[in-house]
Order: sequence, then C-alpha cells, then structure tokens
Amino acid sequence: MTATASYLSIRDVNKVYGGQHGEATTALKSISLEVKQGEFLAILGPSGCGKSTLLQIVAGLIDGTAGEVVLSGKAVTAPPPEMVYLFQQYSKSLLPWRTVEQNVALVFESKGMKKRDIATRCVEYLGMVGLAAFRKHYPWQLSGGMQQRVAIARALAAQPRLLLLDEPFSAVDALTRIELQSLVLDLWGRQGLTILLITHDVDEAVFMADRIAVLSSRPSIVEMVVDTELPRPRDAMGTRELPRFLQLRHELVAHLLNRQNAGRVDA
Amino acid sequence: MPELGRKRFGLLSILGVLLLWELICRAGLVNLSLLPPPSQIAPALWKILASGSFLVPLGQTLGMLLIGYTIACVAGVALGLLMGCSDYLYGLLEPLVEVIRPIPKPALIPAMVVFLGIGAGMKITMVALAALFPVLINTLQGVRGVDPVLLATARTLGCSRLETIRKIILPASLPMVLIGMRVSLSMGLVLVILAEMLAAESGIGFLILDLQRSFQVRPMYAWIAILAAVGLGLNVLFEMVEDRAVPWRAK
Amino acid sequence: MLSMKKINRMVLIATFTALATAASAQTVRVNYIPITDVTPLFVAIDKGYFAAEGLTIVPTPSVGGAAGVPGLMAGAFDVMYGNVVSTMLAQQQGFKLEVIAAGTKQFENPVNTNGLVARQGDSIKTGKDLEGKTVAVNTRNGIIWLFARAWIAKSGGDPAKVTFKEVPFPQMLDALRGKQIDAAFMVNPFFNAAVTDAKDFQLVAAPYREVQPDVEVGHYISTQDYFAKNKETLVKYGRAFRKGVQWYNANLRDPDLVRIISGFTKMQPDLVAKLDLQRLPEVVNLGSVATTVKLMKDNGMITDDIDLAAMTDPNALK
Repeated sequence: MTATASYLSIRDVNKVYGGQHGEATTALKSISLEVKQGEFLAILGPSGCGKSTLLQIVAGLIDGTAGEVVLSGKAVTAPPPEMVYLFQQYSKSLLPWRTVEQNVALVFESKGMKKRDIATRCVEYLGMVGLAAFRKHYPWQLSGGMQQRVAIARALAAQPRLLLLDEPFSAVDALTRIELQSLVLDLWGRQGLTILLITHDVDEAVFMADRIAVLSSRPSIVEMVVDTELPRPRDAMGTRELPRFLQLRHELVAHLLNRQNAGRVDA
Repeated sequence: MPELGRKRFGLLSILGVLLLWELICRAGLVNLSLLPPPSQIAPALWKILASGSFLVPLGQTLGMLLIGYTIACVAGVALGLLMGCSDYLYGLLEPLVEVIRPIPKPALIPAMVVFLGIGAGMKITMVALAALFPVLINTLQGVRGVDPVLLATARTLGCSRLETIRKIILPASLPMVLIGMRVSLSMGLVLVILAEMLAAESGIGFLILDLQRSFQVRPMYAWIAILAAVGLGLNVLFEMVEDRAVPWRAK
Repeated sequence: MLSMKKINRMVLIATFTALATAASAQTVRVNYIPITDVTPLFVAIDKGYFAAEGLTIVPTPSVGGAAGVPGLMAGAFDVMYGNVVSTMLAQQQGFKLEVIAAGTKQFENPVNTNGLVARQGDSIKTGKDLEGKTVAVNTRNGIIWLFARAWIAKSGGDPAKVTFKEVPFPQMLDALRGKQIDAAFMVNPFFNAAVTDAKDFQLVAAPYREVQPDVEVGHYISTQDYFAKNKETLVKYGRAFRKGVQWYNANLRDPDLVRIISGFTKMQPDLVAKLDLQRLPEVVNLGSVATTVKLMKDNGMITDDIDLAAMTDPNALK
C-alpha cells in the first residue's frame, strides 16, 4: 500500500525446469507477494501447481530462475538463520537414531551450551507442544501427529522469526489436524512469528490465515489475494460456523471448482 | 509363525539333511572313504573339540580375518564417505574402483604370494582386499542415498558441512554400511581359508588341505563342520551388533 | 581272378573284423605325474604295445599321488602313478588300493636323478640351515615331503621349524628363481635342468640316497575293486607296460625318448636331450616298501602294520 518495507518481499519469482535437453516446463511464471511481519499468510492452490517449489525458493533451499526474495532487506540465497522450514514429510525430517529430545537438541548443539542447559530448553519446547513426557521416545515410536509436533517443537527451538509450513497437516487424520492447527495458531500468537502456510485445503487456509493468496495451476501466477477478515483468537468450532467463514469458503471453493471445470490444461 | 517356532522349523530341515546323508551312506550309495556318514564324522569332531586342538588353528584363522577385516572396514567407510561427499574425489576414484572390484579376489592370491610370501602379511592383505569393496560400495550408496529431506532439514537448522556429515550423513548411512560389512565378513572368511589352502602353513584352510592330503577324511569333514559353525557364529554375532546399532532400520 | 562279389565279401569281412576289434578295445584311464618316471607308460603307448593288446590308454596329469588318490577312489580314472607314501597313508585310512606295476626305484648309480636344489650363493648345506626357510614339495604328506623331512632331521635340523610349500614339479624351478622358496626337492626332468645350470642353482643333497638308498619311490596302483573286476584287462595292461619298461631300459640313449619325454612333460627338447636317463624297475620289491613303511611309522604318519603282499598284484612281483 505504501512505501513501508515489507518484512518478506517475493518479487517476480519465476522457476523453469529442464530446457537443456528436453522441453522446458515453467512451474512458476511470476509470483509477487509482500508479507508483513507477524502476518499469517496462506498460499492456496491445486496439487502440482508449484506451491512447494515457491516455498523452497523463499526458504533459500533452491534458486529461482528469475526474480528475487528479500527478507528483512537482505536477498535470500541460502536458508537464513531466522527462518525454519517444516517439511511435508515430517517423519523423514526427524533423525530416527535420536530420541525426541535429542532431535530438538540438534538446534542447540555447536552453540557452546552446557548439556544441562540444552536439556532444559528441550523440555521447555517439547512442553509447548505437549510432548514433554515423550522426550526419551524415538520418533518411530510416535504417531504421525506426535511426530509433526516434535518437528514443530524443534522448529520453535530454533527461535525463528519466519516459519514456512509445507502442507504440514495433510498426512494426519481430521481430528489430529484440528488439534495441530489450534496448536500452531496458539504458538503463532504467543511468539509473534510470521508464518507462510502452503495448503490445498480451503478450510484450513480460511481458518488459520490473515490473508490467502490463491495460485493458479502451472505456469503459476497469483490469481488473487483475499483478507480473511475473521476475528482472533480463532476457535476450532466457533470460527468455522461464522457467516464470513462460510461465505469466504464458498467463494474460494467455487473459484477453484470453476477453474477446474473450465477445461484448462493442467501442466 | 512365532519367531521361536520358525527357528525350530529350520532346525528340523538341518536334521533332515543329516539323516538323509546318513541313510545314503548306509545304503552304500556313495564311496565311504570319500564321503563318510555323519555318525563317523561326529566322533572325529568330538575328538577335535574335546582335546582343545581346534583352538590354535581357529585362533590363527580368526586372527588373520579380524585384522584384515578391520583394515578393510575402516578404509572402506572412509573412502566411501569421501567419495560420497565429494564429487571431485568420486570422479577421480570411481573408475579405479570399478576396474578392481569385479576381479575375483581369489585370482589375486598367486600374485600376492609373489609379493608378500606366504605369511600373515599375505593373508591379511587378501582379506582386506576382498572385504574392502562391499563396505566401500555400500557406504558410498548409503551416503548418496541419505534422504534429501534430512539434508534440507540440516541446512535449514544451520548445520555446517562438517556437522551435516558427522550428525546426519554418517548415522543415516549406517544401515547400508552395516549391510556392506556383513557381506565383507563372509567374503573375508572365504579368502582367508583359500589363502591358507593355497599358500600358507597354518590355520584352518591349511589344516583341511593337509588332512585331505593324508586322506584323513573324517577329521577333514569335522573341520568343515567347525568352519560352518564359525561362519554361522560370525553372522549371528553381526546381527546382534546390527540390532543394537541401528534399531530403527526396520521401522 | 577276383570277382566283384568276392572283393565285396572280403571288404565286408575286413570291416567287420576291424569294427569287432575296435569294439572290444578296452579303455583304461591312467593318471600320471609329468616326470620322467612315467616314461615307460608313454613308450608303451607310442610303440603300440597297448594297442596290440587291444587297449586304448587315456592319460591325465596330476601333481602327485596325494592329489590323485581321491580321484582314483571316485572313479575318475582306473590306474594311477603315485608315490608309495601316499598309497600307504590311503590304505591305512581305509582306501582299498592294489599295486599293479612297479614305477620308480632308486638304484645304486652315480648319477643323481633327483635332489634338494637351492639357489647358487645361498649357504645351505645341512638341515639346520633350512630352519626358518621354505622348502618346496609337490604335495605335503607324500614321499617327497617325508624324505625331505627325514633328511633335514638326519643332517641336524628340526623339520618342525621348516615351512613346506606345495609347488607342482614343473613350477619349482621358477619358484626357486623367483625367490618364492629357498629350496626344492626336485625330480627329473626338471631336476636336471636346475643342476646343469651351475650359475643359478646348486645341489644341496640327494635325500633318497642319504635316507634309504634302495627306496621304492613310486608305483602304479588301482583300486582293489577295479582290480577284482578287470583282472584280464590288467593282465594285458601289465604285459604291454612291461614291454614299455624293457624297451626304455634297452634304449636309454635313443633320440625317440627325447621326443616322447618332451611331449608329456612339456619341457623343451634341447633340455630333455641333456638328461642322463637311468633304468627303471620291472618288478616291485616289497622289502624296500616295508622299509619305507617303517620310516612312515617312525615319523608318526601311520600307526598300524600294512599287509603289503595282500595289496600287491602277484604279476607285479615277477
């Protein structure tokens, strides 16, 4: 709106695969988004539209073909220390040979902290996700939802200012999903994080975010950005029954369905 | 079938084979001076075990095996790790590995004897050469096969290259490394016995050949049985180590 | 005048006779060690003595009696040339063998046909000098091995401190030259090639001569089973073979022998020509064998007595 610098600036990010030997596929045509500090932005789009690719470019894990990502005024070329990425396959991101506590401790190692202090901090963060009692367990001994919570605890332990979530709840059952959504919102509120959430679930996007960016299918652009305009704190049952929720949800689903039925070619 | 029940079932098949063997011999279907029945081999085996005369050759053979095997494992893991983490080293060393690896190591024994004689040095070298490649190849594959999500996690959590190798790559490739080490153990045993038969003057391999040369067929088979037990024992031991070192591998 | 009909009939009869003879030609598979000791066998083949008896010989080589006996027992061949020590060891272990012809005997003659050879320049004079060193024998537990040990003991050394390495006779020269071994108990024709090369090799001792001068070294054996079932064949075999020995003994300087020996030992003819061939026995001497058996007993190789007459074909004794 004005010249106030955003916390996170995504400018004309473009990503093209192949091209050297075979046909080049454009995953992201041109993505531009401005994110304010402390904001919760959801990125909504159909499967295969390049949402994960976008998030990984923002994270500095891969390079875009064109465009740039600027975080706190600095261009992102590698994973910035103030950012943490939560993977879709969270169980693969946990180290199976370490206990839950040791997984969280990974963040504190090589920082020169005393063992006792590390243990205390780990218990603290595990406590935030309600898993303090399981700290001596191994990841493969826990359910999917619990593993995701460990990943969240580990992410928080890194004390990030920006959290990137790649479809974090798609692989858990509906009830666990609701629990985890509330947990994330709670932590977001208390820690003052900025969160980018990738999801294909309209419900989830509307429930959790301040704004929703809708991506087209490949080659992707930002089709529209809407404010959710829902009161906080969000309530798992109550918010989902508000008229605004239902209306926004209806609009978004209709939009997505229309596009699907409009016979567009899916890349 | 429950675990213990399954093992007992397997035992039954071993006993069945022994019984068949005994019957074939008794029926006169084989030349007994070439293939004696288990009932004649057992007393010879008992004699060897009870007199303790099995200890020295067993110690000699196992000693050579363990020294060569340790060298091979250390070198194999180190090389596999280096080649897996450095594209430059991989490009440099991979052709060399691919040329030497397919050579059946027993074929190298005569050449090694020329260089190293017939003593401990030759045996240890042959074991090390044979055991090196499975460990190296498996370590290499383990390192390269580390889940990219794990590596990306390490990056996002701010781990340095060295930290990533030490904390992520090494433990993650451990299951593959152990698979390689298990294959190497078997190959090492084969090579040490072969080296002892062809060129040495001590150890189980030498003893088996010697017994054959003096036509003491029953003790010869008894020693073969001991060898089978050694191979089995080493494998069981290895599995125990594997279970403790990588408890997560089956999950 | 021979009519066409008569000619046809004659051809028919001739063909039948030839086929009949061929069909009745017995095959005897013989295992041998490629050393000059078995020359009479190849003389008998070369001069057609076996063929005249209706026998076809199929020879296969091996490294020594210790290696050949298992093959004999397994039926891979019918007759084999092996050393006396291995035969007695096998007999003791329950292998039922039959001695069917004489092979090699150390006669009292001034020419050495075998011995311990070392490299020129190495100071190896007694058994003591061999302690801590490696000696090549064709196989362990054979007569070469036994007499090497006996000589070492007799000349003041401890055989337990000597390493015995198995090297086939044809490869001993190269192994010695290549320093893979320090000494080798060699036999002809390879022994001669070594000792006539005074620049590189030296003769250390002749163990047979020094331990048991009349030792019966090798002989031809079969299984008692085969002997019992093929008496006729073995009689014919013995006749033909004996002729081969007689021809050999009468023609030691004949150039034909150079050709024959070079053929089965794969040694170059010019080296074979330098051989000073010695005669070979026609009959087995049980007395000599008994002496060797005693030596085996003294060395702990066997424990029981062996009835030598019971395991020897009487035809081989006269």
